[in-house]
Order: sequence, then structure tokens, then C-alpha cells
Amino acid sequence: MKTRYQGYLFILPATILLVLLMVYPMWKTFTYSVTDFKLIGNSSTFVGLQNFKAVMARYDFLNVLKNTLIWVVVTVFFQFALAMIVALFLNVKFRGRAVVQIIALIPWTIPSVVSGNTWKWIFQTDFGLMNALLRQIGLGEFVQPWLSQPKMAFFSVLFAAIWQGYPFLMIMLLSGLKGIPEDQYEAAMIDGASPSQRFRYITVPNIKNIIVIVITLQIIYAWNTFDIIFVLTGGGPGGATEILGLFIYKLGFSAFNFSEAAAVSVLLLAFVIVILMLRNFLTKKETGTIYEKKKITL
Amino acid sequence: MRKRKLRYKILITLGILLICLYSLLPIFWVLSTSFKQPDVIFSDPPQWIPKNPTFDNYKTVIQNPAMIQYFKNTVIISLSSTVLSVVIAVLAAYGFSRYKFRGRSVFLGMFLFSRILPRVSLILPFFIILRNIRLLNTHLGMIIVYIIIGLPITIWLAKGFFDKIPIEIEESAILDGCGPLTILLRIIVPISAPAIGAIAMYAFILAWNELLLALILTLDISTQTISIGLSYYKLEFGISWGNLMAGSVLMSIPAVIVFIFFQKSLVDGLTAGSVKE
Repeated sequence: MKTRYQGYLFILPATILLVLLMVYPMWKTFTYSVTDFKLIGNSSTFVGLQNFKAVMARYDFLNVLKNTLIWVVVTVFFQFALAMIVALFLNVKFRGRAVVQIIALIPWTIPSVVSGNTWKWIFQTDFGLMNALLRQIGLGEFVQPWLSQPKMAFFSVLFAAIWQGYPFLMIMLLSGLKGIPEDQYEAAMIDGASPSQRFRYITVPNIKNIIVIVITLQIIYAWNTFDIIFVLTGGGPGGATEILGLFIYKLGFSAFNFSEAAAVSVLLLAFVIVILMLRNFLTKKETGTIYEKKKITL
Repeated sequence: MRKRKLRYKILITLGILLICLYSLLPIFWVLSTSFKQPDVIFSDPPQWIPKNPTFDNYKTVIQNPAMIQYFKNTVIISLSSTVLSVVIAVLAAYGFSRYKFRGRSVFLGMFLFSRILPRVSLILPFFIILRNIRLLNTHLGMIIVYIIIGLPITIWLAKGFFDKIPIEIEESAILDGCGPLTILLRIIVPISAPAIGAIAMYAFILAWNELLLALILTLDISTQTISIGLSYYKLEFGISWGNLMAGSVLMSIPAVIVFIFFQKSLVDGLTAGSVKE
């Protein structure tokens, strides 16, 4: 006989961990953000929104926020565009497709520290591959210190992040493409629809939900990027590549200003929740596709 | 018609070539650098395939006591957290998959939400909590943290796989008088071995590759992992690109091999998790 309490027993260990190490820490972050919590002494008095005000008043906060927004928009846009192109290509049947798919996924499985070091070496000023190739093909005037010049540093880090992150989107989109019934395309071909029309009126509506999900996930991931920037530039030069994740880390563990770092964490979390609510709103309105009767979960 | 077929073939080949170049060129450059002697590393124009390949970089890395310690810590932490994570996830996923109980959807929702919780917003409380229970800078502390970080997805993957197993198989076992744990261990686990492999792989790669939490929760060489070692490499050893690339290759090998081995079930599980009936 299956009884209810057995169900609870099965999920008990995981739930205890979740409460102790997810729910409780989240609550702690919130309390740090509204108190004058210090690393030493564990004292904490309620200070209201003072930490949030202090963060806003920091000279570099607006710059970090701006960087983060640009970072999210640009990485997600390019990752999505690239992922869609590659997914459409891998949805065509050809010999060796399974192998190409694995190869396309490899940048995603490599440790982010390693991809950081890889691109750091490629973008290295004097002996890096990028500058060497530019010299070789006669574009010597474009040779530059990729990582130590503010504008180019942002671009270089972006380039590395797209390389590393797009395969995840690609594989999700590909699984969606594979689920589209073949006969819809056949019918459209008979009606004389062009490839771009088929893409617009069959492909996109059919995978609209997956598109919303992967873009939501990717916005959240981009918003939290840390590893690749930390390894490539550490947020430099002069804060040019510093985004919220690095800002929290530095504020908390270099400046040891825990309560202000917690305030930034709360803002970051609030953004994630807003994005999720937006996602739910967008997917709920969905009607008229093959996913009509399927409940989409994140 | 034949002309069209040829054009199609050329396009496909071009596509394959572009994807492979884009994915593999940076990796090939790392591999190539790792086998170069110091003077060749800085040669201009660059040598794609080193003329006199050497294992010196690998020898230097392998014989470096600090690197050995980093690898040891990483192996201990990732293997332990993987084993525990799989056990806890399989239990929870079975509970969610086979039992109806009050609050089931609330608990499930909690796990799903924690999947997208930003890790950067957890670093402050993790540091304080581990410090207060004296697990800061210990292997055990890191193991516990990596279990919880991976759990939302491992549970979700395992639940997805279990949901596909027809319940009839278990019903006959219940008639034979088997308890729920026996059914899980004797029937469900053996059937879903490849799926559990994929889950283990996910948990393993997660711990093996992780940087941010290791950066905060490990304080010295006794617990620091390989990702810390490689991100601070230049500070400790002076930039030797050959050594750094050799270390990077060594760190990537386990992750890439494990991925290629389990990629099919992992990809199926991850993609099925997003569009579920």
C-alpha cells in the first residue's frame, strides 16, 4: 500500500537541505540588506532602506547597472540569433549530424575557468592568436590590446560569453524544432510558401513557448554572469566590464561591506522575479499551437 | 535538379565546417599551446601544429605540489557531492513522481524556483552560515553546498525520467509484498540506470567546474579546487601560458569525457524538462 507519509519521507532529505540552504539563506540576505550587519561581531540593528540608498549613491553603481543591462541585452540577442541559426541547420537531416551536434555543444561543457583562460590567451596583446591572425591577413591596423582597452574589453568578454553560452539555447531550440510535425511544412510547400514564410508562420508559432523559456533562462543567466568576466578581466579595465555579479562579490568580499552587498543581491533577485512573472504572463496568453494542451514548466 | 542537389551539398558541408571551426578552433589553439616549448609559444606567425611537441608543460603541472593538491581537493569534493546528490535526488524524485500528498505542488514549485535562484545572491549568506557552523574552508562544507546547488535540476531530471516508467511494473511488486524502498532499489533504479548516469554526470560537472562558491568558501590550499588554481595561476607561478594551457586541458578532460559519454540522456532529460506534457 502506498501511503501519504511515505511520500513525505522520500522528499524529506532534499526538503531539509532546500530549507536550510536555499530558503534560510535567502531570508538572511534580505535581513542583511535592511540591517547594519557587520562581518565581525554579528551585531545587527534595523536600518530600513539605508543600505539601498547608500548603494544607489555609490559613484560606480550606475555604471555597473548600465554595463549589466547592455551585457544582458547584447549577449542574449547574439546567443539567441546564433543558436537559432545553428539549430535550424542541425534540424536538417545529413550524414554525421549527431557528431556535429556534439561538437557544437563542447564549448558549453568546458569549465568556464578554462574558456576564460582560452580567450584570455587568444586576446593577449603581444602574442595572442587574434592579433597574430590580423597581422597575417594584412589587417595590422586593427591589432590592439583587446582586454586592456575599455571598449574592446567589453566586446572581447562578450565574444567569449557568446561562444560559451549559445550551445545551451541551441539544443533547447533544436528539441523544439524536432517536435514540429513534418506535414505542416509539406502543406505549406504545396501552397507555395517561401522558406522565410515557412519560418515565420510555421516554425516560430510552433516553438514560441520554448523561445520564451530559453530567452527567460538566458536573461537570468546573463544577469548573473560571473566566472568568465572574473577570469578574463576581473571587471576591468577601470570597471569597463564590471557587472552586478562582480559588484556584489567585490563589495562583499573585498570591501567587506556585507549589508550593501546584500542590498544589491536583493535588487538582483527582485529583477529575476519580475522576469519570471513576465514569462508567465507571456506563456499564459499562448493559444493555437501544438503546445496548446501542454503545460509548460521552467 | 542535379545542380540543386550539388548546391545543397555544398551548403551543408559549409555549415558543418563553420560550426566545427567556431567550436573547435579556440580549443585546438589551447591544445597546440600546451604542447609547445616556451620559445615556440611566442612565435610570429603562430605555429598551429608545434614542430617539436613537448610534454614539458604537462610535466611541470603534474609535478607541481600545489596543482596536485588542487586536483585532489576537486576530486574529493566533486565525487562526494555527486554520490550524495544522486541519492537524495533519486529519493525525492521518486516521492514526487509516485505519491500524491498534501503540498506536493508547493514543494515541487519550491525546487523549481530555486533552480533559477541567482548564485551570486547566495554567496553572502553561504559564507556566514558555513562560518557559523564551522564548515568554512572544509571539504564537507563545499560538498554540502554543491549538493544543494545541483539538487533542483537533478531532482527535476530524475522526476522526468521516472514519470516515463509505467507504474504497472511496480504494482506487481507491491502484490508480492515489496516495500517502497525495495521497489525503488530493485526495480526503478536498475531500469533507469542510464538516466541516473546522466544525473550523476550533471552533478559531477557542476561541482568540477564551479568557481564562484569555491572562491568564497575555500580559503587556502587545503580545500581550494582546480578552478581556483587556474584562475589565480598567473599570480602564483608568473604567466607561463604553456603551463596554464596544459592545466586547462587537464581540467577539461574529465568534464568533456563524461559529457560525451552521457550526452544523449542528458540532452534528452534537459530538453524534456522544459516542454513537459
